[in-house]
Amino acid sequence: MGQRPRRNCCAKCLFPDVDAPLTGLGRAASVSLPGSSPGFDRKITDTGAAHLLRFRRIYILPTRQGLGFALAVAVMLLGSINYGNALGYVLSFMLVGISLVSMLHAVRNLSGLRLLPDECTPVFAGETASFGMRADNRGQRQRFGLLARLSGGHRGGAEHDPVLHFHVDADSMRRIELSARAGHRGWYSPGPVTIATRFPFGLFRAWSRKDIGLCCLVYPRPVGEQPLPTCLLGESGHQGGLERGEDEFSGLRDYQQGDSARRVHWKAVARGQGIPVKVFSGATSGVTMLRWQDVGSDDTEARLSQLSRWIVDADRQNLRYGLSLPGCDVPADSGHPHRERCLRALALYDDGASA
Amino acid sequence: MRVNPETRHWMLTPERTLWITGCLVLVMVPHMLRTPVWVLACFAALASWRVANATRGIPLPSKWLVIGLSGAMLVAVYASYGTLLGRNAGVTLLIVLAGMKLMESRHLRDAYVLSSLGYFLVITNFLYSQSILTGVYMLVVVLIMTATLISFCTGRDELHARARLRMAATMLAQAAPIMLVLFFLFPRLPGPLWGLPRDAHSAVSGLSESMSPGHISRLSLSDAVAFRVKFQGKAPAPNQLYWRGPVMWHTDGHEWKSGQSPRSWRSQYVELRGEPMDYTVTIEPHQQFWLFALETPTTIPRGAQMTRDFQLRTLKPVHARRRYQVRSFPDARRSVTSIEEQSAALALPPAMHPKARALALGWRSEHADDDAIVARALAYFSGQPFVYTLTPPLLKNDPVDEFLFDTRSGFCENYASSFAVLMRAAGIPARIVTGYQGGELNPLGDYLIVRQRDAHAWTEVWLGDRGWVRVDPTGAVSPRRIQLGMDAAIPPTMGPAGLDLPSGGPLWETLRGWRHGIDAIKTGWNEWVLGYGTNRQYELLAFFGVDAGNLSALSVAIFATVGGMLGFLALWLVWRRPVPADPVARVYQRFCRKLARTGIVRRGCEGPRDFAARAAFARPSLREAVERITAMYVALRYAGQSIPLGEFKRAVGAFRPR
Repeated sequence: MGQRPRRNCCAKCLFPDVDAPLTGLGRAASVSLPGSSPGFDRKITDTGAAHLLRFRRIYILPTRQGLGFALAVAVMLLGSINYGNALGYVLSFMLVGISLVSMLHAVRNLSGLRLLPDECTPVFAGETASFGMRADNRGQRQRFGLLARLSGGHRGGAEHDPVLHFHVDADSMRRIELSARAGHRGWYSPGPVTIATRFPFGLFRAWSRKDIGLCCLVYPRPVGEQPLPTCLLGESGHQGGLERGEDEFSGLRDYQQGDSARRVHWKAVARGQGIPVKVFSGATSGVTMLRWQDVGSDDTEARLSQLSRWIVDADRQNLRYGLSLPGCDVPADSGHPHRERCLRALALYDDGASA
Repeated sequence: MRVNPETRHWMLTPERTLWITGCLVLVMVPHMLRTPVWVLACFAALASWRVANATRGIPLPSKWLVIGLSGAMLVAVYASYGTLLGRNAGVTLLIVLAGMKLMESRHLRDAYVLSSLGYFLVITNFLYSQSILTGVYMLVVVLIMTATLISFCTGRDELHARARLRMAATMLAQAAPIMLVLFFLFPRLPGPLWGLPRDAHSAVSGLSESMSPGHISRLSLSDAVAFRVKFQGKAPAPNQLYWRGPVMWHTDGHEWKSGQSPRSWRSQYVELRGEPMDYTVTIEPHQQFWLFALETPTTIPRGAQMTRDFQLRTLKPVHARRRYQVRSFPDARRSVTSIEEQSAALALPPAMHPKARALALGWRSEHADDDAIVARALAYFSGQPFVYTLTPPLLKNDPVDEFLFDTRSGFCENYASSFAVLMRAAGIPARIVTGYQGGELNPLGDYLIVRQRDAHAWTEVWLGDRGWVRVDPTGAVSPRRIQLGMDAAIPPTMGPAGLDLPSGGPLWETLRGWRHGIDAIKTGWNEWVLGYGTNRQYELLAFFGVDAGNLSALSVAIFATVGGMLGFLALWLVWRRPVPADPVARVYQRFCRKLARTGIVRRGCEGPRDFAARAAFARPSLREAVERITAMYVALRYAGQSIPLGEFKRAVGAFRPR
């Protein structure tokens, strides 16, 4: 169980809180989406009825093992009839009894559980998105042997087992993650979650499907051969050369949200001296503008992919950069939140043609 | 191959392996006494191998080795039994197969096959023994097997072993009502669906169609129960309890045989007189065709018919314990109307028993009256030094003459056959009746137990107008046997074998009391569990106004009852307030329940302090106790103070609001 290692090799995995406002839940407040589920626009504090697995919506069918077991019991009963064996009858009927009772326990194992969407880190198209969920178990009943699966998600190769096994203790909440491969840029909804259980005996499988409005922002795939534009604008009127902003080390300051992980002074962290961040004197000296019209391509998606690539590269080099799209400009800045803001603009770019 | 951690859920983990192996071993234990030694050795070896694999990672055998071993064992089973079918060979085969399956199980689906096999092996145990002890042991095994099924669906981090056992026990308890409904309502078919293997029924000792010297005295060594009787109303005196079984007509001088009464005999004439007696007999399976009844039965149980000499004979052997009701008229007059019957009852083997014939002819020359000859013969038995003994000396050539004139010590069969020979020689039609005499009244269950040791043989003679009359020559020799039963005539050996306790002592009485108690439990078990068959079901359902023969009504009843129970259970499971896991909260809940009984019910939103204040206001007399308990609870639960939990428990336990 536990969290899977995320694919993005950036500060996010070290400081998961960094991009909190941009993820799944936060989106509800700021963005309205075409084709999102009705439950999605509810207030995020509503953790009640909408996410409750209801008794009536839980289905149950025997498993293959259950059918085999039924066959065995039928043979036992036939044998008991033939031999007129009273204790054989008792055992056969006892097994019928526990099978029936186990159906109720299986349903009860799911009934009353709440499933809430949790944050989901944005990914690039083609990567695997991890959808976070919280299984909220109120009450004194432990939930055993639960299986969660994304019903509509891509059933990935052998690499990604789409089924997650977990359990929830009494009166507690558990965070689980399910992965699915993200296809296209924009908001990606993997569809309803199937939550199932074979508890207690594995003779029946009870399940329920719930669309809890899982959503993940998918950035355009960062591909493109064109070099990063070198058109640099001095912010203070000064047009410098190829300043990379990493020339002169000017000192240390405390970590603030949004600082790149590359600038953290890790050795000091290791020594337990807080989280100091290196500051470079050249870091504020130049600005790279990444412009829609500078991409030499006519295809919208190819352009967005190229821009995505540039943003990733510029961020890696710790440049100050800005983004200019038709109808949307992101002023120059650097750091992680800026990167996310730019990529988000690309992900949600709507040129009117695709709408 | 790399094992994905997720697929571990479908693998037979070491923990699950230990569970299922343990189950199989437990279910095999009773079988081990019945199977050949090599089976025991093989299964123990295979189980140990699997356990070593689970605990130390010793590799399992390869597929080809498993196939080879299975083939070898198949051959070995065939060599041991000469067949692969039948009860004993079949069970051995199942044991061996379970062991081999254990060797090749790697996935959870194999484990499910193994657990089905395990449940099946439980049933095979019942083919050999259905005693209460077996039932209790198998209940424990089933509990562990059910916990094993739970272990297939939960990891060790979710539920530890004891919690699984507890959960399995809960589910078995919840399933019990359904089991009972199905047990009592499921239509019981009277006979086997297909042919039973020849070794399905084990041989039991009992009466047979013939009587040779020593046969009944051998039975008298057995304490096994033959049948139990419950009388409606008062049980008759012991000397009236003659349970008629096979009637013997033909003798070759040594042995008596029953033989079917010839077809040409016309039906018996019975004149019913006196008070009838109604009683219910629960007979143990004896693999023979007759049922026992007092003189003269007038009702014929299901599946039985009455012969012309008033035996109740079943159409199929009594393979299962069964109950039947009989109405008897002890004073009825049984008459004969055919010459053939009379001549059969007078036939003697030629050139045998010359001395006995001479004696009888002597009596006949003195008395013309049959009654007088009977009295004379009985006086002969009581007047001469005859001895009643279980171990008579061996009679070689002419059992009757040697017994009557030389040894003069014998068992009931000697007396009965000699008496019959004397009567026939004197021209009085006589026949021998075997069966049981007496029985032990169990004061706990108010019923009569008739054991094999009560086996008896007596005679019936035909006395003209009075018809067939019972005469028991043994009574002339040993009246105690007839009036007080076998125990008084020849005390039984109770206690462990070989240890004879003096009869009548306090220890003997205690043992007798225990034996009665145990037998009362056994009788209930026999009557309601083992003997619950077609007849009993008809009676029980008729009591509730349901006709057991009406299958559609029966199935409606089953579905309605089971459905209702499940619905009720579902409501209870969903709405029941679960017991808090926290012991402190549990004790506090008990406190709240106590207060609720006095009418002060805690509201869902009410905190403990508010509740205490309200309770103290409503019942000022309880103020001190309520406040003290609440303070303890708050300190324990919220402040994390280290008050001993026991003190809190005691305070709540001692709290008795009135």
